[in-house]
Amino acid sequence: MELIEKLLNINSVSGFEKSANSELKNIVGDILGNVNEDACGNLTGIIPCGKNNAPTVMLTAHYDIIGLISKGIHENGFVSFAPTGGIDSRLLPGAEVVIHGKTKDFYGIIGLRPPHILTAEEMKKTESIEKLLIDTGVNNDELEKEVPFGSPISFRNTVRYFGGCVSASGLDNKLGCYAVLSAAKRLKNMPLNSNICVALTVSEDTGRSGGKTAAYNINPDMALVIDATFAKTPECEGRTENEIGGGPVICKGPSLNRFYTDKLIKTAGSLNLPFQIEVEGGDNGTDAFVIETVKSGVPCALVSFPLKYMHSPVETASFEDTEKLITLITEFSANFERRDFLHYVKKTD
Amino acid sequence: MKNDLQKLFAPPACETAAADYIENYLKNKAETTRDAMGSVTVHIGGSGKKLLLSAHIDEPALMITHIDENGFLRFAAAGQLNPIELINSKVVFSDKICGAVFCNAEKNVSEIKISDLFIDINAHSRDEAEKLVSEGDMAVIGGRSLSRLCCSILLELIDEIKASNYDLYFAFTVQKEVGFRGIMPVINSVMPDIFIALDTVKADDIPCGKSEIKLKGGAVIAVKDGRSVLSPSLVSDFRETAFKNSVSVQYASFNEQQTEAPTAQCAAGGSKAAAICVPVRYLNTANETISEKDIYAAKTLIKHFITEA
Repeated sequence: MELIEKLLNINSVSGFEKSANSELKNIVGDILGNVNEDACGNLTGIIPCGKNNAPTVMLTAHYDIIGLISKGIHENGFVSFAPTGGIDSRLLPGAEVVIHGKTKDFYGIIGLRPPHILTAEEMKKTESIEKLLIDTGVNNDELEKEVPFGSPISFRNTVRYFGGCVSASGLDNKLGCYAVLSAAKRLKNMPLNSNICVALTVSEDTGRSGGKTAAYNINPDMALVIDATFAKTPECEGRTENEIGGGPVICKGPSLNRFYTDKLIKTAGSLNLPFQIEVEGGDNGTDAFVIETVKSGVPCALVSFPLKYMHSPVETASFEDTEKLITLITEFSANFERRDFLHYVKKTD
Repeated sequence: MKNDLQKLFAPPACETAAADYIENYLKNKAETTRDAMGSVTVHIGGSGKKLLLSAHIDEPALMITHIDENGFLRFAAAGQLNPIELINSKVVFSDKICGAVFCNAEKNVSEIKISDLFIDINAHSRDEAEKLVSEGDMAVIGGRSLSRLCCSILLELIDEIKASNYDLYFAFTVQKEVGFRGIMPVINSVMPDIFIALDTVKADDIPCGKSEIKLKGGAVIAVKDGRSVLSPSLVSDFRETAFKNSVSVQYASFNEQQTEAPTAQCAAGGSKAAAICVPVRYLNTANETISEKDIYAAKTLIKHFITEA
């Protein structure tokens, strides 16, 4: 439990991951014994298998989280802001946030006028993000000095445990990072046929540049991407949402490698692990979509954990699913064999 | 026209049959390579600048997302599919299992979405349907697609071109329908100086049609594709080549990206990119209609360009 809380408390607003790097670097270094940071801020570590000409599997999850970015300082300590990543502005009023200033953090809240003084029309509307302000209670001189235009703002995180679930802001995709690191811990003590490269990547929520650049530097034979996917809640009418507690979700789609996707399904079957299938017709919305076309092509597979209330401050996921996910990706990576695609061409460097 | 190629089953990411066909066709003629995504590249050789010609081998498909308790299939579109044009179409899965698309929504035609449609494969329960298909399986429309029409043109060009002023490469790319993806690794490997995409484009010269592209209007030279302005110098080279050799051409500017040219333009170190298209009426439906005249124009235009320019 410790590791997940440590990861959740690291502030890594998408695009501003630098501030998180030293902390996360230590965590990755402690687990893998080696860690490398590239120009973008992706953190990678390798578990070598010690064999010649062994293939490389990239085990990857993004560690950036959605957040806000400051746009201006108004009278009496109010701060205006814009979203970084897919923020649902309906969930902002009532949120507690932390503004990350130059040398210190400021606590803030996002409030609204009370319902008593609103008209019936106003009650029905959601306030647009441009009109919302963060109330910091700090005097303007200090804010002007400490919070320049474009400072990152994250949600104040409270980790809660209930009903076999964990609820916090940023589980998308800190829980993925947790799964990857937990799998790495197990893989370190297992006999391997392939080198495992763990990559925690940046900027997935703001343009997916991290996964792409990490894959370019690693040039793996295959990438297994771990991310969050939508879980069913009572108000969902959708047909395709996944169940919390139903096990890891293996994604099928035209942008994913069929052979490795089938291999994941077979691995889950051989372990008697319950799993779920989801289908994405086009862009699957994760790093897997951009990694596949890097260099001369990197076959990708995608496996996710079901997450309720994605991109809200109360994202919720189940430990049971996470545990099964870790077992699945560990087993898949440990037994990885390079498949010689027909006329498989040696990759260009 | 190589008809066998049009009849193959090659939805995005499942193009093996089409790639095999092309490799087999080129056996003993040229050396082919296939990359990790499945695209086939042929190096013909020659001296001069590197010129890459490309046509995609995939076709749009319907991907099963859900099988309901009565055996009806819900699907997502892998590629640009118009829900209205899909209604009542026959669709075919990989192992010749057929179905048809229907719509039961009480909506105005313009409001119908892919999610309002379903495929009936004559299975009467989920169990029965799951014996035939599973979630993630893909079906193509009608069992014949002119999407690979331009591959036929490239294959004929490979056969016919004896000498050129370029170091020639040909690519038969995967996953064009799901975001122009197959071309990216090919560009990273070949790194061409000049790139020419050959593709089909919708001819909308029908009642209430919106586009200026006409069937039998000749090869389409694209001047702008989506947000990219294609190489003006290549456009003027093609214009001159067409004029000198009396090839009938028409010009087009696409608001939405239609070809691989913009992707290739800024992939790897960048290249000069152009796109030549063949007009197809009722594109991506079971009734795709083409004209031999346009195909001939596109082929001769490129042939003259390679050998003369």
